Amino acid sequence: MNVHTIRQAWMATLAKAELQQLEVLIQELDVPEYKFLRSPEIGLAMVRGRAGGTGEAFNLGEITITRCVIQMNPDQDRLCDQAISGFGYVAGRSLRHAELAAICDALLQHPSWYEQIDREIIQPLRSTAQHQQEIKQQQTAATKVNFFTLLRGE
Amino acid sequence: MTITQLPGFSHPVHDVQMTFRALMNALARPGKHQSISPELALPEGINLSCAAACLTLLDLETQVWLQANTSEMIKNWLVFHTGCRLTTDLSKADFALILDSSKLSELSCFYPGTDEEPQTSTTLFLQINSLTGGEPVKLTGPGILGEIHISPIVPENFWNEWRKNHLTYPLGVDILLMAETEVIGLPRTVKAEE
Repeated sequence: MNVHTIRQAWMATLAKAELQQLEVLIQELDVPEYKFLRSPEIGLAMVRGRAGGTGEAFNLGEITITRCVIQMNPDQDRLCDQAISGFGYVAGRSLRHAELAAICDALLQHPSWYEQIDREIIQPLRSTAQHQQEIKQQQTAATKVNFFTLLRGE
Repeated sequence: MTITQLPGFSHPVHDVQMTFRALMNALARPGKHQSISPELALPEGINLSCAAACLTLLDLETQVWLQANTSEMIKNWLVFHTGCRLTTDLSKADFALILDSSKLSELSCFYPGTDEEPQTSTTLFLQINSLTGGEPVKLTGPGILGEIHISPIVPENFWNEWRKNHLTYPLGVDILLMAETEVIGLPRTVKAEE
């Protein structure tokens, strides 16, 4: 298992979020001005897998991803401060989703914004994801079948 | 590695198409000035047409050779926006970016391709100050009706080197002479005379 950094964790949360929910949560914020370093663009990436998680790597198939990089400078008054770059990589073709993910990534890197974004965006997204995961598990558990092999008397 | 602070093309699709068309015409009609003038924020040390050509032709699969004195700022900018790989091996380079034309050495040191695959030779982006005001030369060859006269400001001994390059046809390098907003193409088929 790879070691995940905190940033990888929040980027994953943002990428897996529902666009609608993300949009609603971000509307509540007063997002500083930003510009695109790389406008949202759609491309393909090869997904690779290993049989059983341990076998030889094989190409599973291609996935459409959308990526975007934005740049913002939340402390306008401190000119010496270098601008923050936020990256968004999401599966699918939603340009807006990549843009919102990049905005959140940029703000999360900023010390004075981190707590607010973590509390108001990341935590709600995580609890929604967890909730949905639980529902799915319950639905799966309800259809569980146990197989018994009876020893045949010879 | 730090990432660049400068954005790429403001209208990627149209800017790339227009730049590509200019570069294609430059090589199809050697000696004719083609204009390249998209809106673009430039890192220091690279001119507009050269930067636009890089964003247009370089991608994940191209290897680019840079001069030793190329700034980190330009390297970061290139890698971020094009994803190209930088190489120090001249025989592997698809493109060579010559930002300081005074330091251009012999053309024969660049990869000329092989008899089986002459198209794999290196293409040079040669950044120069102006396409006029230099030593006049007469160009003839495919793509030129009769003859054409140009006078770009090129490094000393350039045209001697070019003649040697032309003689190795079908091998040899192709060169794009990049002034601020204009470009002239010199495919290896072009013969240059005083």
